[in-house]
Amino acid sequence: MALELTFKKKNSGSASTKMRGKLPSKKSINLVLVKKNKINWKIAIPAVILILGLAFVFGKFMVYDRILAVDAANAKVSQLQSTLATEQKALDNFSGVEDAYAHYTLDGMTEEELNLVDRRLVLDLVSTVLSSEVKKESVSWTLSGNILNIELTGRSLNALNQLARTIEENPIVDSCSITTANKNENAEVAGKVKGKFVVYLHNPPEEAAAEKDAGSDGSDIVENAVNAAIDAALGDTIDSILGDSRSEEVIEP
Amino acid sequence: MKIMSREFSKAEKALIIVLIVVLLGLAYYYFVDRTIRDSIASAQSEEQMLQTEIDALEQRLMYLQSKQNSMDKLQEEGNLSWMNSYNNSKAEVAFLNDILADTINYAVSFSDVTRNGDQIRRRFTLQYTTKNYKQAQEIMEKLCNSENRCLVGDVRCSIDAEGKVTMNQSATFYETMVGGTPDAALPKDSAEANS
Repeated sequence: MALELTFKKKNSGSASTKMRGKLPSKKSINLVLVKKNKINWKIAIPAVILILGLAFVFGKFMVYDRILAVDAANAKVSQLQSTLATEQKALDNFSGVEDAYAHYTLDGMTEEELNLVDRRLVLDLVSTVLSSEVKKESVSWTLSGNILNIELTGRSLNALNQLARTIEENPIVDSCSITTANKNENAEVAGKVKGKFVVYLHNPPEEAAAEKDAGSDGSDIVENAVNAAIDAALGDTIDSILGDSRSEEVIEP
Repeated sequence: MKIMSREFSKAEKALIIVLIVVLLGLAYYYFVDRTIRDSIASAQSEEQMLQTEIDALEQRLMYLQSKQNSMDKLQEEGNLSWMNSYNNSKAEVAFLNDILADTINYAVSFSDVTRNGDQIRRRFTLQYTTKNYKQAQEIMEKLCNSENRCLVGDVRCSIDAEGKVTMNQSATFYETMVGGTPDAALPKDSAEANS
């Protein structure tokens, strides 16, 4: 709304009369009424706080926390990469193990092969036989699997029996028995009785070897006494029966 | 607010605010949300891949550790013996020549070569005469301690009046196909034939 302020125009002299109609003249001033908005602080401040709060919450949960989640995921990836590098390094320590194992393994061998008694120990066992009172050139033996058959000639059946016990004491021997014994009266003293032994072998169990090394208990004393009594009876009986020149086979069941 | 000599009406102001919110939302989605989702998805995918690799490596480590433990156990038991790769026949013959050089006489006869998987068996019979039992024991010791894994089987021994010892024995040299070179003499794999 324009307010027009009008003021009277004075009649001036001839000059003004001359200028009239030639130049426009403004006789009014335009003014505009503008409403001045006053800020209502009671609404504005809470609104601003609310907006800022919402912006903070949005920024915290929708931006910051999610960036943290990305960082956490990347950190886990880094950790796994580090673990992978460590394990690859550990794998380097085992280089050559697979190849070495292929050359050392016993996986391809059969149960029978693995259970064979060490042949060196068998030869050691036979050497103990040879070192006893037997006719060495009479000794012959065969080893089939874990069964050892020994043929030899000794002084007497007693001597052979004693030898059988000596053989049984060896850790690799499971049992030893005399299968045949022939006496030849005409033979020299050292070679009177020809005997055959069957020796069953096994790989020495560690516990059994330890017990044998540790010494005997009471049951061994009784067993030795019984064996001595049998020897005494057996030796006399056999010698009396085999007193003539005929040879007689004694087969132990 | 007055732009272009005209104030915005309330509806226009509301629409402008909605537009600003939508634009902000779109900007958030394209520049923040999508980037973060892609990063997390990429990280998870890489994490899975790495975990799979780690699992495979751990299994391999366990496998190799068990092999190492087996060898350590064999060594403790004194059963560690080496098997050469196929074809080791020439070295084996040279070895037999060395150990039998001092015997009175000897005869070696190789029989069949068999294969079961990677395991090669080269069987042979050995007959020799030594001047005494101790020498026969030494030969047996060398056979059993051979660099080429050797298992002595059946043995027959006799001693004559002069103390000479005659030994007849069967034995087997063991070889492995691992690191070996197949040739025309390589027998067929009995494990494949039986399967």
